[in-house]
Amino acid sequence: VSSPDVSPVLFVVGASHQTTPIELRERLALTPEKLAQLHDAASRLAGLRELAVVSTCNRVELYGVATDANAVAALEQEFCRLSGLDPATFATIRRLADGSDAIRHLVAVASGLESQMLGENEIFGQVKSAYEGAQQRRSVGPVLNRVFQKAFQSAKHVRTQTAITVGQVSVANVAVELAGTIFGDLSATRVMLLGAGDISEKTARAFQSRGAGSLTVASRTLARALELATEFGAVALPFEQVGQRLHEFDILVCSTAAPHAVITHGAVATALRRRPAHPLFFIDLALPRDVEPDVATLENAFVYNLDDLARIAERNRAAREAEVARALVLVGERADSIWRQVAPQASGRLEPR
Amino acid sequence: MLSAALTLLSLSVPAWDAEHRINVFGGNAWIEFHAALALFSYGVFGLLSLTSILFLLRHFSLKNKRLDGTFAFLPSIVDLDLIGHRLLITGVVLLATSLLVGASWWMRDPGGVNPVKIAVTASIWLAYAVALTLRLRGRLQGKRLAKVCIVLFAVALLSLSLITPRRPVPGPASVPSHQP
Repeated sequence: VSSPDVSPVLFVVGASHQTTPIELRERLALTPEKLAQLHDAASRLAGLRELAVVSTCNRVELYGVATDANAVAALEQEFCRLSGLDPATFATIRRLADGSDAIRHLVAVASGLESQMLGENEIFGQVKSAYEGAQQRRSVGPVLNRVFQKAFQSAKHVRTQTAITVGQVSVANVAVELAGTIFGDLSATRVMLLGAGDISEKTARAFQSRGAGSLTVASRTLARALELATEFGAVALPFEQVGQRLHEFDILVCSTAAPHAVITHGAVATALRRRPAHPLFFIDLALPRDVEPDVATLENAFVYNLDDLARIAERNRAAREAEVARALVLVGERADSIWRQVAPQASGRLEPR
Repeated sequence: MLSAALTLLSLSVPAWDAEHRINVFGGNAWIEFHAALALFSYGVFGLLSLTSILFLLRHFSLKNKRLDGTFAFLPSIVDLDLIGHRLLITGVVLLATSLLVGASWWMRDPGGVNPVKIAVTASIWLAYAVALTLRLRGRLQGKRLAKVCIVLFAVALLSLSLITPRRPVPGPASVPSHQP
């Protein structure tokens, strides 16, 4: 802090995906045990008045109020000790901000503006959980309480007043959103996962989170299909039965490693004749493709491959990015307003270190 | 709320009512009921044609992978199909009821109704009924059904000019005492 007799300083110190490679982030991530140890150590630090720790797979950030810069440096030391990271290395990746800049950063993080996937929703809940955890530990006081609560209101305002959250930007979520434009409510849809790889798993998770009616897994390796089916509370189907039972499903997520198409025009035409009023949606995530291209010529069959989904995701991401400037203006206005409210209690600044 | 308020306002000012109401149906309640049902069914078929246009747009957007812009506001294709199906059933039932009510009057006074009108209206109802039957049997679906519904409504609108009575509908004095 500039001088010992000035007001306490509000600060944030941490590292995120923007500056830190994944190998280092793995080491920085705080397990519940390490988080408890950090809070324990912080409670013994002279000069540290308040602390809240946001720890996700993409960022670890320590928000606090300290009476002097030494307390902040000591907290950093404790953090590095617990993470097993050399303080000199940490100094190259860390982000340090104080006062209104720290508030601006918190609002931007909670809004999803600092996320790897711009505008994603999950971060808001993660920051909220971090604050609730700090409340339970009684490590937050009048400054951080006000800053976090106002930051949540501001983040909601930013998210609703701009289009940074509009349109899905991951392939799995784009696929689910597309299914919505075909079937509307997904609660009555039957989804089949053809192939049991990672991408199938992610897509299945996305469908499950949107309340898809039922999941069935078919894979050349029945054991793998059973494993994935057990994980999702789904049904496993022998691969050989897929063709005959195609008409029973609404959505097919295909991601096999087969060297040729496994869903043929003839099989789909037969299936559609058995369910004339109901469309069939194919999400072909395989390379080479699992669905014959001419399946798309059938009137009630909608085929989207990896490129199509990636193109939609990219378009959505570009649309979100176009909103960033507007969102940042809102973040700035809100952060300034919060700062005016807490400045009387924490107007100190950190000296450049 | 606004329409209710405007209705109340209009009803509360008697001076706004027409002084000499033109009684096109000769005061016969059954004919009025017949005409009202027929008009209502045409309204339903109008909505059906709009739904069919939306269905075709949604189908185009999904097939051509154009889902942003205006297309983003369209309902899902399954929902549009379901709405269209319900409207088709409603329209066919309403027009059938209207025709039955009209037919009961026509049987008492065959000369009073334009035969071209009967033939055209019955044909339109039949065409919609056939489309519904084929839809229920899974023989007419999706884009083809949507196009048929749009064409049928265009024909129905064009045929309205033919639907005029041959001579003025008799007033209550000449209406038989045992009305249907």
